[in-house]
Amino acid sequence: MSLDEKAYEIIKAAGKEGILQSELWKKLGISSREGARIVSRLEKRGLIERKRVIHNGRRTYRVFALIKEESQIQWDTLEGCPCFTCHDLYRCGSGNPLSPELCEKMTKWLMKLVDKFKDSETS
Amino acid sequence: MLARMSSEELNINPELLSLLSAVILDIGGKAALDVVLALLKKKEATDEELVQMLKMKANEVRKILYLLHNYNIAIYRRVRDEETGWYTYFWRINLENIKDLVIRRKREVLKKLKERLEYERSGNYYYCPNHNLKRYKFEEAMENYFECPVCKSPLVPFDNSQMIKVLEIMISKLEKDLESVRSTAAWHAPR
Repeated sequence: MSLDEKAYEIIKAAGKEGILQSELWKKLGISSREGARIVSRLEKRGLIERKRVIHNGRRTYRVFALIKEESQIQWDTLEGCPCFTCHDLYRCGSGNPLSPELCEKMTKWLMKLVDKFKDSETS
Repeated sequence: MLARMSSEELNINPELLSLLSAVILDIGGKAALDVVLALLKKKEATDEELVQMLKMKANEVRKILYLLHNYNIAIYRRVRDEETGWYTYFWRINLENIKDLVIRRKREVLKKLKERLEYERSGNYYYCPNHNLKRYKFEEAMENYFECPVCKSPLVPFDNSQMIKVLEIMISKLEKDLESVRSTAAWHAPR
């Protein structure tokens, strides 16, 4: 893990509270000069946010992670793979009465895909 | 009418709602989605209330609730009637769980596909042209004198090289998908 990644993990772990820059430097064991560079890099990438605060009478920054919504999670059933909606998914396994090896639903799906790939190759 | 409800009305993140709808439609169809949306709107409801809201048959509503409960999408809290000793079930939707559910299911499916790939790679298979979903290992085919036990037509070798190829494509697709979930924090997000 690079230093940037480590820093990001620490900021993320701080959650909504965020973390003071100085605390971040301490945790990473780096100088404020190095730290400032890391933080500004992360900020440019839109991963974190800095807010100006006054701490012990000194002006400093508190950094917050901008956690992106896990929007990448999609319900993609791989062109109709029956397993995704199979009620027996967690009972199915090699050697069991229900197994991916002998599952006819899966065979059907695979055959369909094979045909489809053949078609797209010939056309 | 319920299907037209917007994410604002329900106060749910639109992406989460569309993910939820896609999942529900696939596992339970339109009726299940109606039940889910009604539950989201009302936050918590008994099966009777749902029957009234949706004008559906009570057994249908319950069937859907049990199905959703199986997937841990619908959860309930039950209250015992002191006098009769009967339980009343209050159902609600376990929204926080939906992303986990999708990820867990994807991981499980990946496992199954890998097992299948292993199987396809590990031997020679025969099949009957009339019953082409059932396949026989070499030994099984031999025991049946290379005849279909059902219709007695000769068994033919099954060329599964295409099937292996398809499986490999799908496995790598799913792996890539799960990979992106692991780095959800958008570490590799475009700058």
